[in-house]
Amino acid sequence: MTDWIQVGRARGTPPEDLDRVAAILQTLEAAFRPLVQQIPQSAEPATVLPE
Amino acid sequence: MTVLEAQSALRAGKVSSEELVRDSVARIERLEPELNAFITVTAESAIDRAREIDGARAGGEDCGELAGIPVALKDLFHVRGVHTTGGSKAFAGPVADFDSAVTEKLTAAGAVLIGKTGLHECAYGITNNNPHFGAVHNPWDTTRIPGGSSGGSAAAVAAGMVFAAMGTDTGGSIRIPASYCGTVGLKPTFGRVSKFGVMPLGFSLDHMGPLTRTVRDAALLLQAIAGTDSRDDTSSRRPVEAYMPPVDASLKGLRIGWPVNFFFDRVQPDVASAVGRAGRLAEDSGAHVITIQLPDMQAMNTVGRVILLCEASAVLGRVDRESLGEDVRLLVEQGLLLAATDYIDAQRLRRIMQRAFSRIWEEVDCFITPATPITAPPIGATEVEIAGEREDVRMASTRFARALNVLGLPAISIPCGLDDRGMPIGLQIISKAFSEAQLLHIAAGFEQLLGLGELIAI
Repeated sequence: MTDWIQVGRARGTPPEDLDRVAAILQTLEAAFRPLVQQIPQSAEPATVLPE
Repeated sequence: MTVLEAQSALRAGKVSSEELVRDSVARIERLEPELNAFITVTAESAIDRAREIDGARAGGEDCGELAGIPVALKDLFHVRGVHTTGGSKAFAGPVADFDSAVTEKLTAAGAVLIGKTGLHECAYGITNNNPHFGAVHNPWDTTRIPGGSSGGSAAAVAAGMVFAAMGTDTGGSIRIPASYCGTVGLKPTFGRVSKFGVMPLGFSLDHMGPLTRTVRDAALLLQAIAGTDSRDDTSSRRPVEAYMPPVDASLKGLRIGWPVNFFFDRVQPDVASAVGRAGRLAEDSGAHVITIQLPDMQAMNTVGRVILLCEASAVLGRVDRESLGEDVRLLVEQGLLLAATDYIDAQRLRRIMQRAFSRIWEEVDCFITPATPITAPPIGATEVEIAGEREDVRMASTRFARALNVLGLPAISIPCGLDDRGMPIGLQIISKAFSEAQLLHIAAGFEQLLGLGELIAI
């Protein structure tokens, strides 16, 4: 999993926001990464209009 | 009075547009101290415009389907000569020097623009507890939020300040306030209504649509604003259908989906009961209510959050973050840390999910859900308790709405009852892409069965 505190420091997230931003992204990442693992290699990004 | 009733009274000469506009302005002046639904009221120009329309009508001119009807726009839509705040101090620039496509179309249909309504800052949230312009209050109980981000529009319609108002919906921002304020709120298919001249939040998730007191009013408004626009690259070239449902719209023979997964998990009991009643009424009236298993909606919400965080931070990442309220600033900071590959993967997942979801339409014509799992929470609440579990107010409010923005499907919230505190409950109806005519027909059928008619909060 990503060290969001480190990423935030490197990208200039204000220090007072770091902990809260990192905590939310950690939870989001925990839900998102397993979905990403399922993407077939050939899958393309969505077009913006519904098909 | 509904838009259609006002239209009829104006055409019959029973009332003038100037009278309607002056009534609207008087009601705004009386209720605004309690509700704070507006950021800008353009009373003088509205009265001038109403006089013009009255004069043209007297001269026998056809002034359009909305001629002389006072309407409001969420303060994201540009109106020439009026400041667009986006509900933020971050955009303290000059007044707009052009109209949004929706503004143009409403004006062409003869509508009288009476003001710009309040919203969650940058449309990036659902409470409408705005740090710069103050909280918008729910007309049904002023200690509660109206929902958002189009909360000012919903409050203004629910309180009878205007006949209709325009909103935008990136993760539920039309349907959530419609649900919390007891109005109709329609999110058309992505691309059906031009985004030109509207401050963006999530490029691939933003939808424009009306908030009204009845479904037929929503159809009339959609008819006025729908259509292709070369200035919006995501605008659809599909022809516009006739949207107005008949007065006696029936559900007989229609296949109405009842999801067995996700949409009835962790729901306030009287919300589940009101939506259940709607399903039973539909079945009794001759509709086929069919249980369906939907794809993983929670996964779609996750994908929607990743896409929105990235797109919104692309829009708002360069504004002075000190000028943003705390909740919006934290969201922008989150989006700035996500990787480009996260955004691309979210869009790849979106495509896979859109394909998986499209199979649902082989089984049903639409499906129904609660618009929100709860009714309007108190202003200032950050968490709510649902079925014994604590949940973040924003997450709870968007839980049943966000995935439909990922899919780009048309969805509508209509009132379907009141909870034990007398707060409105919203029924969400969803149908396939570009089937707004059918969706509005079904919504009108439900509206008739539910017998709630036109709800006015105050």
